[in-house]
Amino acid sequence: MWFKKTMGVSMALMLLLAACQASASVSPGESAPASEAPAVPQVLRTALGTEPPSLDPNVATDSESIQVLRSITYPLVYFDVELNVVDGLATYEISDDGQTITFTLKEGYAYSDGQPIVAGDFAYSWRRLMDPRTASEYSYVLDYVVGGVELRNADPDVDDIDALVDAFGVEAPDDSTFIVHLAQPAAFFVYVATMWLTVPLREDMVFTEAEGYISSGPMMLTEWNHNANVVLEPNPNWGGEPVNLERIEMAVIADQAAALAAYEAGDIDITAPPAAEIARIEDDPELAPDVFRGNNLGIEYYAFDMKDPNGPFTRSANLRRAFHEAVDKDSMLQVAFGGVGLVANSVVPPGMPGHQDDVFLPFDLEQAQADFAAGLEDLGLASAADLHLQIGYNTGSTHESRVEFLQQQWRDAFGVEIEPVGMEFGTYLDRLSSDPFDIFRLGWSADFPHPQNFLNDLLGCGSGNNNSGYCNEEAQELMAQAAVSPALEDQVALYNQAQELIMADSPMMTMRWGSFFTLVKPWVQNLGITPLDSDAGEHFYAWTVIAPHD
Amino acid sequence: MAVEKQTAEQQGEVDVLSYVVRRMLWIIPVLFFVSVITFSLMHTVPGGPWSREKKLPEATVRLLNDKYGLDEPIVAQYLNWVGPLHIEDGSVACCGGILAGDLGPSYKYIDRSVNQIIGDGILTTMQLGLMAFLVSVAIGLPLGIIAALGHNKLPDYAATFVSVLGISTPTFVSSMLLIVVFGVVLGWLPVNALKWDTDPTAWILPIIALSLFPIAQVARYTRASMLEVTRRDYVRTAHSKGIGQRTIVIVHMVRNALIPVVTILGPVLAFLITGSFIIEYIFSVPGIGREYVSSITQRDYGLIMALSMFYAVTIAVLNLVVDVLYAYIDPRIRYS
Repeated sequence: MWFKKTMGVSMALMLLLAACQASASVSPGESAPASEAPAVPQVLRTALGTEPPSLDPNVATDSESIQVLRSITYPLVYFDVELNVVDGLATYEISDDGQTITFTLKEGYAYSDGQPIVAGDFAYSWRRLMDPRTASEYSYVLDYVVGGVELRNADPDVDDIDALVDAFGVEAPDDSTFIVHLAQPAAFFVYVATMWLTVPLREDMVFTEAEGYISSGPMMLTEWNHNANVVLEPNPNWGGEPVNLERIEMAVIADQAAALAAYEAGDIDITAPPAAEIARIEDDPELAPDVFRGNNLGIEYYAFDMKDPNGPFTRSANLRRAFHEAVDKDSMLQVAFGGVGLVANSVVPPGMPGHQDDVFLPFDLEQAQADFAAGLEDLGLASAADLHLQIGYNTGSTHESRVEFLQQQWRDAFGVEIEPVGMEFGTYLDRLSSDPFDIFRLGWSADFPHPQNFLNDLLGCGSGNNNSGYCNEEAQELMAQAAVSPALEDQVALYNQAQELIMADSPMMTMRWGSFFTLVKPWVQNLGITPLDSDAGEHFYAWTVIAPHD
Repeated sequence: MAVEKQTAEQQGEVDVLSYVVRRMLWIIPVLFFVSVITFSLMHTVPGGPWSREKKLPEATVRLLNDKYGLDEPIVAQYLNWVGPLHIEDGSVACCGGILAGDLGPSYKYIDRSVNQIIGDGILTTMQLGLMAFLVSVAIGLPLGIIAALGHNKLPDYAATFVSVLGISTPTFVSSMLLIVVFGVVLGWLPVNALKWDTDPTAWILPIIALSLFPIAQVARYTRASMLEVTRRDYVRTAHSKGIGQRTIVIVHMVRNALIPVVTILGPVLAFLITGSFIIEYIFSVPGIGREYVSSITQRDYGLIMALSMFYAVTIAVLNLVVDVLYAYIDPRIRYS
């Protein structure tokens, strides 16, 4: 979901900027002793890549809106920087059968307009999220709730929506108790209650302007100048850990290169620079110390088309393995990803339960060539020249160099020519749904930190996001068992077995775990960075500290 | 004599008026064709507003299509966009569409209408465009005149050099150079226009970047057209009558040379006030220009239509203004 597309233009700009080797003109100044340093305004300045498309928590799906919502809303439970679930607005208890979660709201929390936050606001919010009339793109996260799938799939013109809403398994017996009934045991479900989608809402809320916007989080929305900036200030009725910041200013800067220029000019405190700038930044003595690298819960992968029953990759598992084994992912990371991030050799990312290192096929040229020969035999082809394959990717981002790298690897290994096909993003996605390329790229990032969200959603039989059409019945059975096992350890063991089976089939090549390369001004301290951030520290902005500086 | 003259003048006014009315009526079919072509092209392109890297469930897509009327036949969708009647699930209701002043919903900015989005950004974009236009004319015209007067001499070469540079440097290159030099290295000017409402200097770089190309355009047209009038008989006659060089240049040459220049000022102004994607994108100007490209990649149909129509209307109206202005500059031109 939260994938940012960089525009083609900006890439050209990057090169230009890089060529100029501009250095920031920040004057060194005299550093005053800490004791004498005057208190600095506690203002954090960040950039948004676009105007936030929607600040309606039930509806927002993009990284910019979420970045704002993280500070102005608050969920039932949250997580710490290690992604352990901790209490948010409520404490929680899971029943022994794993099918009922009871949230008990904590005292003293109120909205920015002074009204107390009550359990009924969660029931309203969750029903509204799932109500087909809201048409929320992300409502499927509540599919596990009793009556969830029926409600989400209902047709407002035909079905009795109000009856389905009544049957939906959430209830608020009193102001401080919110109960969720699950259709099946799903221990991971509590992570859904950390999402921005499930925060408390009231019927009288409006989400289109700053004026009248009611916040439930540590900060509140005080200014929203469309296409220009968003300003947040502390929510006076916030009942949690006291907020440190006086203001968060989020400026809309669409171009990453322009955001970097603003960072170098001292206008913003945090920015994610464009990939082409990374080499320059690392060599720049003023910028290099500001670099913050991290990993997040996502992967980038190239998958093989198995939807076409006569496709070469459908017919020959040897061929899939051969193509996989011929790719030197370590070199690819250095050459085509600018050395940012970590090589991915399985599907479930590090930091998530169920992660396994290196279960995918290793780089092995001899094995690859043997498998390739077997693959040609499977297909009844005489030579590599008879194999006509296409690799698809979306243009206007940085994928060209990666596709070229892969092309070269396969040319060197097998003497095979793969035709690259680049398409505009929307057209590309449309093509993948209807008729995927033999090999195609995509990315995926976590909705919640559970293997279900990766293995089943990407590679489960018939899953909507399984674009390659891959299906392994045995692995599917294991995942189905895992989904109803109450204990996480049991689930992990089953998911691991499934992952090993899937890896042996080589339905996709995972290349790199999600990663970020961010510049943070040295005076921004206490920035809690989690692997779920799309912008470094977005979950804990309110508690950052601005240290004295020039 | 006096009576005859008055009738002629009245006749002239009627001519202009009927000409303007006729031309305005012609704008309607033009806009119709522009809208049909844009609408068909935009719906022909594969992908839709709900294409995501992380795919949406089918039921959700169906709901969204139903909610926004994208499940109606394509002709009905067009008619709904035009308005004022609204067709949905086989029934007809009132009122919607552009004829009712409603540009429709945005699929990207879900909670806002296209009217709101355009309303929020249009003044900023037009303000920036007008300033760039004034700069282009104020610099481009003198540059062209100087070049023509110093034909094949140093001033000509210098002015030609400047205008070739302006024409051939892509905006994103010149913008980035301006940012790097004046914003980052020298630190004289803000690197973006975010604080444009409080800090007037924030306008300087975007205006310069936006006007480089039109300056060059205006200068080259002015130069060519000045050179042409230099060889005209009336200029030679003026010289032979012993009229001073300054008078010849101002009264005889520049006035006549301006006629072709005015022709291109219409499209130049239209181009500038409808906003530049690149300039607004790079300098973070909160206008509508940067939506031109993003609305297309997002398949935000309502916004695409609104922006295309805005551009078409602006071009059509400014061309009409230019044609009417002709008569005042060149009395030889008559409306028919």
